[in-house]
Amino acid sequence: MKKYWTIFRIELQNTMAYKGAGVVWMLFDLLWMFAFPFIWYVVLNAREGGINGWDATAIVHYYVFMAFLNNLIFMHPEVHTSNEIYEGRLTNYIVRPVSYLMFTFLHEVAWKVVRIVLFFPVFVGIVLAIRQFIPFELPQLNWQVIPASLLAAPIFFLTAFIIALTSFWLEDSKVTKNLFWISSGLLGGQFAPLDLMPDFLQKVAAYLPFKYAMYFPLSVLSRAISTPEMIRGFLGQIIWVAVLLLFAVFVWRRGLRVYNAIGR
Amino acid sequence: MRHYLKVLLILAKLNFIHQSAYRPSFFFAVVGKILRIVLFIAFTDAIFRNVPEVAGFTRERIPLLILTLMLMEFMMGIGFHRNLLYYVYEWIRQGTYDYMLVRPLNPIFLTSSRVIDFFEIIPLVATLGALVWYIVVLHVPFFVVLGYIVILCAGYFILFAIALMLSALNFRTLVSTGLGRLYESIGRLNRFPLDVLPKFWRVALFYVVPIAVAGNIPAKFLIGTWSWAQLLYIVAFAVLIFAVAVKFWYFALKHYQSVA
Repeated sequence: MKKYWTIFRIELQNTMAYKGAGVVWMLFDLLWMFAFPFIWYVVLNAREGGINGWDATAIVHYYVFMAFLNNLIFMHPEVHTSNEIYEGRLTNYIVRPVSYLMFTFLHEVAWKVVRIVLFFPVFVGIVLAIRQFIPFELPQLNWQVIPASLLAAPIFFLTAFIIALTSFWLEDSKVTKNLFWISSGLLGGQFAPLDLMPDFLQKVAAYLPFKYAMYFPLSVLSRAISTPEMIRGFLGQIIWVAVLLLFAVFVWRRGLRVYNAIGR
Repeated sequence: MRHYLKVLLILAKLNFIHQSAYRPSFFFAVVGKILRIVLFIAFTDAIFRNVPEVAGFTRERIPLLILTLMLMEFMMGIGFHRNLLYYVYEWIRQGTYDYMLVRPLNPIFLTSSRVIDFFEIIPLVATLGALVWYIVVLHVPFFVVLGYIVILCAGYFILFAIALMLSALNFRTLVSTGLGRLYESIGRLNRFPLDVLPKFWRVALFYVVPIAVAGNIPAKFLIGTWSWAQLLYIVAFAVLIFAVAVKFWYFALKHYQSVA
């Protein structure tokens, strides 16, 4: 464990050197909050009584919490890892007695630690600004939000990690990363709660991990969901964590067989 | 001019060879484009299933906004977008930018057209076709279409100028690709009518830094909620910001130290 603590400290120092980049990515992750609550507020206000259990207050909670998840929970190893494979820099890690998966995780956690410091003042400012235009009260936090968010983190991380590993075969994985960003947004509920999306998308989303990484924790916070729905959600999260972990290890091992450090 | 066209053709050929080397990428790129269309359809369906109109856009008019945004994105994608917002950072970091500066060509031209993205050409043609068809179906008057084209051109220059200024920041301090993603995402706010935003944001996005030229402003002109006087403002803004951006870029270039 000591070596991983050392890696984390080094990664933290490394991250501190790029605070500017941290601010830019933070703004990127906050952008949804500037726009989406307003359009859905217009739509839901026009439909008195809300749609499928979503009213104007719930939708604002949904996007405010999404900013929180985007900034502090979701990690993006797909960018860093795929570049390391593509450019052959992965060689530096695989000859060392450390788990690359763990190393990547710590690298991402270090970014999140720095992000916490940058995020909260801006977040509070934006929430206050939105309240100027859309009256809403802050949601009552129920304890289920915490495990739902903590389980969402490995689901998103492992999915992104697997996407990054496609670089073993594709080398240039720009397009797979794009595909991942679009599909996670679309099928995870970033653009709209899945209940408000067309039926066919809801059906597709049910078979993919994004719903459990994004939509489920957001729903737990934003609106009252039934106990069976809650249990199904948590079970889905646990199953996806296990499946994705096994699949990530499998793809990693297969990928190493074809890796030839061509970029070095 | 002929010399530059010849260079552009050679660059296009080189990039075509490079991109065809990654055939699975082509397949995934097509899937990505289809997914984006699905996203647009699903998003607009989710909205207009519940309300007949949002800020002047109805279910019939909203394709004008979406197709305009896509057209603008593909035009930027083929040309300067990735070059200025992603690759300049990489070229400077890796120390290969010097090779571009020593060429007997305008450095802004070479920097912004070094990589031509062929993945965007097919969807560009398809989008253009769909847009023309839709404009004909809606019987949009000829002069309005002419004004729309003028706004599109002015918009392209505005978006280019903003990207050029952002890329120039790399000469002073290396700005990671996050800035490119941020620029993209602000542009993609155009996927819905920006008139629903509070007045402060509307003024910012339509007049101060008119990112709305990537979709909302041209589409509003087509449906008649953006006037000719406002069109003139956009054209004047385009001329001004382009001149400022070029000056700023050369000023920033003086600080380039060639330290990779």
